[in-house]
Amino acid sequence: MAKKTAPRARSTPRPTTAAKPIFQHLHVDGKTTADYQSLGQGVLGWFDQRLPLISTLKHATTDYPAPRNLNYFWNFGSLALFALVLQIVTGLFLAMYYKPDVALAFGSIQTIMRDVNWGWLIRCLHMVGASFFFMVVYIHIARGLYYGSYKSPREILWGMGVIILLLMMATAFMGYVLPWGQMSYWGAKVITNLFSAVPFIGPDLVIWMLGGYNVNDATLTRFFAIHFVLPFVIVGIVGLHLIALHQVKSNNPVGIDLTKQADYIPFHPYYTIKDVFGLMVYLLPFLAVVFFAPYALGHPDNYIPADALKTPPHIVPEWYFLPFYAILRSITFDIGIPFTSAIIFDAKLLGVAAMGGSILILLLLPWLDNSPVRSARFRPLYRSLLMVWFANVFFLGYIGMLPADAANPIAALLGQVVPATLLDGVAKAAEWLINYGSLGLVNIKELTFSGLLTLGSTAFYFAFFLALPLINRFERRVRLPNSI
Amino acid sequence: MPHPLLTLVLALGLWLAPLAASQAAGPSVPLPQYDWQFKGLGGQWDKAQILRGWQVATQVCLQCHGLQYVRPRDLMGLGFTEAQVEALATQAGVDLGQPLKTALSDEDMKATYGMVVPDLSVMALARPDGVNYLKALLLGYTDAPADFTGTNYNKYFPGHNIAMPNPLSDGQITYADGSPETVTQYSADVAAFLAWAADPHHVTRQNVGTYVLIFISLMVVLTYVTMKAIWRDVKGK
Repeated sequence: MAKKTAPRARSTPRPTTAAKPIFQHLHVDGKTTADYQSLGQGVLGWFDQRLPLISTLKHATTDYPAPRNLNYFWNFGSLALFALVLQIVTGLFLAMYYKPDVALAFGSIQTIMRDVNWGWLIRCLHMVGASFFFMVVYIHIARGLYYGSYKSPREILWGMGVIILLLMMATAFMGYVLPWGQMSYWGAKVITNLFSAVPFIGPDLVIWMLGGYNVNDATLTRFFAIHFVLPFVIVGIVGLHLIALHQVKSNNPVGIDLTKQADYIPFHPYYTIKDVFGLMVYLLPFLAVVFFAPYALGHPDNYIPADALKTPPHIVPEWYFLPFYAILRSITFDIGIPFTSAIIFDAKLLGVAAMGGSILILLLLPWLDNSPVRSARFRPLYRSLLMVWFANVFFLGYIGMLPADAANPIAALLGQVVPATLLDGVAKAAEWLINYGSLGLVNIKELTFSGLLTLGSTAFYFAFFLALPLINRFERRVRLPNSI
Repeated sequence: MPHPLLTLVLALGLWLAPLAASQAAGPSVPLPQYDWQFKGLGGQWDKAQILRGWQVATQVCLQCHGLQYVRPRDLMGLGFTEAQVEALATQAGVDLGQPLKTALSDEDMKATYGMVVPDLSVMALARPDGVNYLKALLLGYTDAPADFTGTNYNKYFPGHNIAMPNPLSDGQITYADGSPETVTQYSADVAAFLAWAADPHHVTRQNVGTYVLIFISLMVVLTYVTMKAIWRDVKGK
């Protein structure tokens, strides 16, 4: 800090000597400790100079400037925080009775549901809460995509969000294993088996992760430990997410930087009350499901105790993983060396890479989308394509729900009006084009029309992001307003 | 310019269209929907029916199926006194505070049925539309089609080939309350009992939920009014 020549702005009656530069870095908005000395000379001021709790809180609420035009989509950030805290609190109480042991896990859930006072409520809140947490976070992300909240200067804020999503997915996956039902066991088996696709170390990696050659007691115990600790890591990243937010301030539906002081209102009381109102509205459907249909979002098979010898007819992940599961299953081709039959990347590895990439590509989004305009309100082409992209994600989710051998629903609908030979012909032609067009780089076998459509959905998922520079070149932008 | 909410609804619609189309086709044998007193808003357990179901469960099901997470004492949650439940337990030859275990060992089960007979404690949750499924299954032992080659034919069992032979017959169990002693009645009663066994707090949950939702609805109104009052002076809103 090059502050040595700057004279002290005002002399305080009790100058704090070395405290100032040490505390300075805590105030991420560039304010100095002196700015926080407005609490006066009383006990609060004395305390705050030593530990700036009150001023930090004040800074984040009454002093935090928020755009006055935020719509209800901006409620989902605070809702996500509520959902996270609820998961942690209910999870803590569940952990007091849950037994991470293959012989006891299933029964301990029954103890919670039957004998523990209000245990059924805590567990229903936790399991329905997980689903609603994802719903809220997905809407929060969709909000960011629509209004361009990932763009400069919010790249890090966005990136922290993507990391939170990844951690949430890991936490939810391990949480679903804990009841030790059939879906727990077979879901764990299918997902951990994916890591065997990692080149060279894959099979050893899986054994190391599972603590054995198969999903077993050691797996359950470690999944419990990790499921317990990851939420606190999420809390840490949420802290960074919020620090970044307070540094760059909220985006808004118009997506332009605010220029006038009058465009800002303090977060408290305006958005605190709006968030409380939003929370109450959110609680209506959430608690309706908790109290009236707590099992609706789960799978009945998970009330059958895990059985390593009996594969369920249809292993399906929780709904919030379905689009990514569909992307994983849609990849049925290998990548090899052109002009030879040698395979470099097999379909399994490519599927895993596509599934991981479908989330990780979000990290690159701020740089893929080079349009200076943030809000989709002023980007007609981007907005239309984004809506198709959202529909495609839902559609992928639907495909992910179907058994692996089921027909793509659109292919099935087409099959009712178009002769099957024509559809097969199209699939054959596409297969030929892909195989020979790529000179053997891509090897695809037995491509059906159904498979082709599903592959098309996956391709569109990625193409949307990769084509953004092109979209921006051709888009006729609507003129931005001067202010909100 | 369409509102983002509207476009989101459109996107949802695009997704739901094929879903609805495929749902119209439905499963091969749709389950009949029976009336249950515990279902719906303000639903209550039918104590008399659950008691009859307990009789079917202990006299018939328990011969092969266990109910390891259910103890006779749990019936007190329905409002029966300890003396009443004690009498029931003695009648059924089970311990008041002990889980309902079957006399059949795993080895016997494998020898007789080729599998370990599933526990029934949470069976009503372990099948889609469990309570209707259980009643339909017990009524589903119809005549097998000519080309059927399995052990026992059941109309509602997935794949139709079920290891369990038809367990119920008319007049098999004597009811003290004068209810009809028919397979239709037995299957309804035991399905209601199993629904209670799988989710004994179901009725409490719905009752509490009703009050909670009324309270939250009030809070929605109060917070909305408060929000409007606070926001009144913000320009452009």
